[in-house]
Amino acid sequence: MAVKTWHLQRRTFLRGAGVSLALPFMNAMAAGGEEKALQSLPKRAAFIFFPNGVSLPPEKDPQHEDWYWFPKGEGRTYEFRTSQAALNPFRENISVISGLSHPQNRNSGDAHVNPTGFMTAKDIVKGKTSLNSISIDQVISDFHRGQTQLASMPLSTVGGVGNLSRTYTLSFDKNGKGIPAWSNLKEIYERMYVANSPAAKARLREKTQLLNEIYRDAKDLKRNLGQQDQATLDEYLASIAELEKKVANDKLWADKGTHAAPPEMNLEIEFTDVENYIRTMYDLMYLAFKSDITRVATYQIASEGGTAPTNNLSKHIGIGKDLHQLSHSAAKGKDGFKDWGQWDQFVAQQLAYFIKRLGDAKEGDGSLLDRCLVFQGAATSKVHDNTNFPLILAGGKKMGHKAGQFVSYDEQANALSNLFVRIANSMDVPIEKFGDSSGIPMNELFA
Amino acid sequence: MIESILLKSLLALRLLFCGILLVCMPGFAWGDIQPDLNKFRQQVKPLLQKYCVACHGRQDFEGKIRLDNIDPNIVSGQHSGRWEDIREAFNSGEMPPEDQPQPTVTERLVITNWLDKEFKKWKRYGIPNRQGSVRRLTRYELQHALEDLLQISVADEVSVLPEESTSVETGLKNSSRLLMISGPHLESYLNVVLSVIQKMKRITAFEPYFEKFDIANLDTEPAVTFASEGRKNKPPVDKVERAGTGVLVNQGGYIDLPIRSISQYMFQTSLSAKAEKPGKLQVAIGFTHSEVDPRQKTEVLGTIDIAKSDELRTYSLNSYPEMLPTEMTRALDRPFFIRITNRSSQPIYLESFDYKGNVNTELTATLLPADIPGLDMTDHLRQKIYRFIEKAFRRSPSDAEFQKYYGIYQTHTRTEKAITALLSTYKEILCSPSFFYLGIPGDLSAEDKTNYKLAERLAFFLWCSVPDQALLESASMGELTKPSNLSSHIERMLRDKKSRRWVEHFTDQWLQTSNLFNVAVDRNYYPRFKPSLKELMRSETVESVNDVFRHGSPALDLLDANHIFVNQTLAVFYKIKGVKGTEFRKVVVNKNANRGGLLTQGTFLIGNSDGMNSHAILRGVWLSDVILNDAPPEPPKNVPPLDDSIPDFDKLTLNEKLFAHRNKAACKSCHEKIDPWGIPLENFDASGAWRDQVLVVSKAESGPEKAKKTNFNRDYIPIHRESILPDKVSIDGVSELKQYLIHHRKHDFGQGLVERLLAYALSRDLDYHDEDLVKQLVKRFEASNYSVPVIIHGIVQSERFRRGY
Repeated sequence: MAVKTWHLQRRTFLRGAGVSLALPFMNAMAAGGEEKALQSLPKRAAFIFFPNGVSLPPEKDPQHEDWYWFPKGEGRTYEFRTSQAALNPFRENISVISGLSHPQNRNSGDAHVNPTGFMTAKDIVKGKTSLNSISIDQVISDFHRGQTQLASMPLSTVGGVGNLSRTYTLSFDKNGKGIPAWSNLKEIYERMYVANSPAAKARLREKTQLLNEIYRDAKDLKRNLGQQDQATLDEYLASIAELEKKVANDKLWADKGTHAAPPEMNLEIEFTDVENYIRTMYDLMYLAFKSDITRVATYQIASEGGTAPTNNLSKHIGIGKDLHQLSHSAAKGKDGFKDWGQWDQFVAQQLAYFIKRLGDAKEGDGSLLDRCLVFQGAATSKVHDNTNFPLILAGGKKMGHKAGQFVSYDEQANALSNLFVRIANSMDVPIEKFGDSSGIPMNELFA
Repeated sequence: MIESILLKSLLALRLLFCGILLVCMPGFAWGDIQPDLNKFRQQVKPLLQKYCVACHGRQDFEGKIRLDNIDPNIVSGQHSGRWEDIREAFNSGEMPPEDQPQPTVTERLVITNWLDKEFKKWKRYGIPNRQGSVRRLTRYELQHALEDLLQISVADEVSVLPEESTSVETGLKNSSRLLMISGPHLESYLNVVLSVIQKMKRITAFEPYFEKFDIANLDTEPAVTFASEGRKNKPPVDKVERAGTGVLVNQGGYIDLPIRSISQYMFQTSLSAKAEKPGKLQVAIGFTHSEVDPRQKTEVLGTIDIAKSDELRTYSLNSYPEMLPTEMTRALDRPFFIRITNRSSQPIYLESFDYKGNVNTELTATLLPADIPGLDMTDHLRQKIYRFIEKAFRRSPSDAEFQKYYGIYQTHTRTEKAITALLSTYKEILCSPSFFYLGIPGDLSAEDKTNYKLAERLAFFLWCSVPDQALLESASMGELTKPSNLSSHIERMLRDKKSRRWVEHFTDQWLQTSNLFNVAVDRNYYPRFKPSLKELMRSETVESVNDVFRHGSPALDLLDANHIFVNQTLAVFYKIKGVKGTEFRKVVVNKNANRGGLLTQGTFLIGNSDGMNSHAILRGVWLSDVILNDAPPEPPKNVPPLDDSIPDFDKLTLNEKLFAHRNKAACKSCHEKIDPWGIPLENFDASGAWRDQVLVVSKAESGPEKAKKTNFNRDYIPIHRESILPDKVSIDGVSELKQYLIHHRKHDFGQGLVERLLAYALSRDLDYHDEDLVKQLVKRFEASNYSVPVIIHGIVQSERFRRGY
């Protein structure tokens, strides 16, 4: 049985994490003064996805006032409605964005397929597309590879990759292959603190040995093959090399021994204990950022459509319908939009929790949140409508984010990819193009 | 704001209507691959002159696409790429521009039809290089291979691996071109092997435990060991009675026997029983939630057939914790029991009952036989390791390879028990690329290579796994290539239940059954539907294909048949009477039942609907692609949106909207070839059930304030199922459609199936070099009254399969 023990144990690990955190900053202080020290602080980005869009009752509907996802007003004077009210305390750190989506990725008859392209902007068509393209988090992660123990943390509540029609991961590598997402809290924790256990070190040794062995085997076998088949084995050799690098990186971090002490946490939580599970995911992301274990994380709260195991999340929090029903029956039932809005409210409360944790953590001349961009969105505005994604960008004030406003873009002229380019830039990744970006600078959002 | 929402929902609709066409996969239509330049000259070129060349004939034109000097040979000419752009601009309606004269519908058709045909030829001709024969295992092949090698279920472990993408050409997942690998993927694969071996080390270390129940002396009071099923207040006495040294269990009666805890590995329930007539005992495992919460949860483990006998006989049933729901395997500390229920109408006498937990003896013995006096264990182990490598690598190991792995074993025995050391050795073998990649010859001689690689291809074709000892023996003696040996192996393999894996995986890929699981059926429309029916519907499909593939029933049964494959639950849903029990069986149905063949199976009726309404377009695309082997062309990228200027647009039913949609000139030419195939199936709703009118659910204007449930209006409108097929034949409803298919399109169906089977067997997309073989196989297929086993023999005996290219 899952119990709400994380309330208690959070204190314990906060202490644990706090100690090592200050270290890089302190070292830099000693070496070259405050300004240099501040520059040495890492920048991070988190990308969060929830499925099926949001409640958007039409204006004439009595529920519009309270349960319409987008805020009232515009610019700096916007006001959150009921469903997003939990974000009010952080409004100076938040931008709400409307009018952005992936214009190229609207060609699938089954709109629940499109979220596969949420982070990649790739045109995903069921039965036709066999590979995705690289996701923006991986562009960032590849650039910073080697600087942290984990290049990135691909998280999802379901875990694995699913398939191209129903993805269970947000992250795709440079060849467009899904990166299996981590869903088991314990496993994530172990990966984060891998370096600390002797068993983990033994596993790393075993893997290194195995990789050496199979590399030799593959080289050997290649000799007797034709040209085409040699190419197949070359791909295999390349994957071994790629994996060797990762294992070497893990070993390096294990040997450094500069790790934060693993905090005590309750990790025996199933995702059916929805709030505890999601908050623990956020705790882990927070810890990974704070201890500089990774710079990039993605988290898929639930998978799109009516068939994923996470479809019942809403039922587990006491709403009478599953996620897919919420989105489909909104316009049909009397309280349909309100029901859906309550799920939106829940999602917002969890995001508020994450933002608060980041904001409460002091770092350098401000908080952890100042150097952490949190991007949250869905790949449809409402069900089956692949335009006008409901987007929130939080934090990152010291990364150039001009927070505190509701920005509306022209759906016809702009694309989410343009924002992705700026997010990557703010993470010091000097790209000019991503997906179907068109070079619009988005200066409203970034200095 | 309202305006923009309307616009967006229209956009979404438009996507729904047009995007769906993309599901299709271009099939092969064998025949001439020569470009049809005559038609271009006589019909297409004049149209281009009339509508396009005025702008696209100038050197300085901005768009740079010139049509005046274009090479009309799309198939092998120099301008194929330019033609692709033209086709897209034309099909999307982008060209000619709005302010220019537009071609008539007939003229449009002339151009699109010509383009479609030429592009199909180009697709076939345009594959310049053959793919290599080395490919990695698919996820499901890895699973079956590990299970056959290690005799343990690895379903949980492999579930972390990514699923394979499907070939756009064939819909198949084993196409070598697509089976790539990356660092994270390799890591997941190695983790699978490591965790399976870890699990086996744990299991082999278990001590089995036994519990014996003295039924005659079971305490009957106050503990309720005997009870009757179902109605709580019914006294149990008439269901289970004491008799002699045991008990007599009557129909529906059951006894519960408490067990210590749930087994972590295989467990065995054995009982001795006798009956005057053949009967059935169902064995289930269950637990009570807690001492204060008397609710029980049970899971059926299986059914034991009790033979007619005067004397006691012993029966046993093996089960695995993997068969149980997680709710149960996690509840380790609850009071568990085994429940034996009489599932037949005659009494069964039961005398003793045994329960064994953690039964690893069989597994341990398979891995490492106990020390047998007089047997040289060293020699035996050497042989064991040699055989394991041979099976895992599908070839004999070289001396160096064997020495390497045997050396690993010897190193491990210094610190580990023999069985653990053996498992450590297996781990190294299973991590090797020689296991992970098919088609690796190693250091084999030419003859050995031909034989072993044939054994490998055959096993992965029909079993989705490694060859067994018999195949490897034939291969090692160089005898597998003999046609008569090959034949007897094929027959043996098809009889073996391992070939059912092939039936399942091929069925899923060929018939796109996964659609079924991607559609959420709306309970507001279909209160009779339960999501658990989907799994049964898939079983129905697999059973019907199994009957054709392995039992040799004519493949035309898949188009129309006087029988279906159902169990009780599915039969009830289909409103077929007289089917009792959970097992699937062949049931003969009369014409009024309107069932028989693939078309009437829930798998496709639901899979090609939107969960609320039937969807004639989706069904039409599916039928055209899978049954007629004629995948509709991709829809143009920017199709004009649905015409909302039609009066009462919002009130139209889906089908009326579709009708309005396909009547637009730009859509018509394609939809005339698609929709007529879906319309005759209108009698089947989106849950796969029969209907005589179409249900339309809409939100009620007002309902009682306090009502918890939303009020819906349920209206019914008539069905339109009359359809005019592309060849102008008009048909009405599903029976006529099936008759039409059987009489006029069986050749196309047969060819489609042959092509996909061949593509699957060769693990690659087909191209025009395969044309002769396909023709020859289709001929045999037709001559054999559409026998799939005949085609399997044909494929395997073909030069192409035997040599693996």
